[in-house]
Amino acid sequence: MKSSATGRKRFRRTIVAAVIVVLALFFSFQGLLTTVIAPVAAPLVGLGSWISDQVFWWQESSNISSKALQNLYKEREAFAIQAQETQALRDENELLKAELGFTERAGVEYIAASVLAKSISHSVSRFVIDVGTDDGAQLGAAAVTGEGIYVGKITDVGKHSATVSALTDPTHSVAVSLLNESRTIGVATGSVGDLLQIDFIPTDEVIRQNDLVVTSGLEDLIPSGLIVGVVNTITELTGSPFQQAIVEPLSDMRRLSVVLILNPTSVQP
Amino acid sequence: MTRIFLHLLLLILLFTLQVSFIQALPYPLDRIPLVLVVTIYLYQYSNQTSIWWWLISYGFVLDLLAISVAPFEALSYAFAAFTMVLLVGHVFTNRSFYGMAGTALLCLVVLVLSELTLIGTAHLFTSTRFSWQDVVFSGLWAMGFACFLLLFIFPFLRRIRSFLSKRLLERL
Repeated sequence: MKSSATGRKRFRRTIVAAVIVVLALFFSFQGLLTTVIAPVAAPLVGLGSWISDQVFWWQESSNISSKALQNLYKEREAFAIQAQETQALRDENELLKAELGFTERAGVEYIAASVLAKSISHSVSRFVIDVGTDDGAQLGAAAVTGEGIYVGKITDVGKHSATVSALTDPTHSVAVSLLNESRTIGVATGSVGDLLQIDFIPTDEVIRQNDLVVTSGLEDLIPSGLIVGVVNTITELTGSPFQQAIVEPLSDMRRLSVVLILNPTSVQP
Repeated sequence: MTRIFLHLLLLILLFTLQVSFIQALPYPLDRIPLVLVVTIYLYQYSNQTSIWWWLISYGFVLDLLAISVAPFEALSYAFAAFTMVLLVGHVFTNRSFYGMAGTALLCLVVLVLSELTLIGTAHLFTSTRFSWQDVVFSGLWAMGFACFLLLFIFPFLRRIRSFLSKRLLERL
């Protein structure tokens, strides 16, 4: 009898505790939780990303030495940046300063953010960062790497934290422009997997493999010229007036632990 | 009250380890279901019956952070917690590896089925693409890792714990 009463009391206490915790979590608007976990989460993400980075180079080095491949990737990024700069210089922007860092080069203010949590699979690619509205982050603002390569955009924002949908997330889409002769514009969406796709490109537009894809600036908070990726495959659909481009993104979210959030007030597409 | 705070502290540490460290690891290591396995281990093996709500709280955290593949993860984890309570109470014994592995595997099956149902339902109302194979493969990896953790890691931790407590008792 006594043990049954004690059991009931313990059960009631557990229920009360559970309800308090659940309500506290639910009404904490992300901020409280991310503030609490931030000191531990940021180094843990850093460690996890470092391991991912090491594994990435190890996996990729089956045919080529790890060092050589690393250099090739760096070269590819450098070429992509260089090509984008050249085009931008030719077309419209004589104020770009080629040898400076991205943020100075683009004249865009930014907020540095640490990644606190990640979720990456073929069906979802999102991460939580430690900046929110209190720090100047806004819904729809772009996240880039230190080199200015587009990573994704903010899709959920709290006071002290925000969730970024990476460009490979199936729910993510961004207005892009191809650096081909006709400057084809389109919308790049995350397809299921690690690639992006641009649909509804008229067949009379000439696109080639390895054409650079950059943001077009048609979205309010995302400036033009941020490097998105390179065209990997072009698919012409039989009987359709459109073709589809599969784009390989240049950023790899799995290996990132710090990103820059572009400040929307300073963005001028 | 101290107990509740201790639970909260452990819970936050566990969640942080899962969403920050494990999920940043390369595939398929990022599929390790640490929270689920620790909860089942403590609930079933260590008789900590008051921690069933850890799973539901984890679901809430995933919903709060909005980084999960399925919507309403709290609901999926509530189903998993209910399955755990049911299995431990009526089906499996609390002293064998097979019992714990059985609970972990069936909880993961329920979790995956619930996630698939919710994703499928959400898919009816949105045009988002999703791959059910990905969710199923993630679940299979998670099952493998759950068995691995229960088979190798936890007995090892138990040995360390008993070794330490023995040493401390000797000193006292």
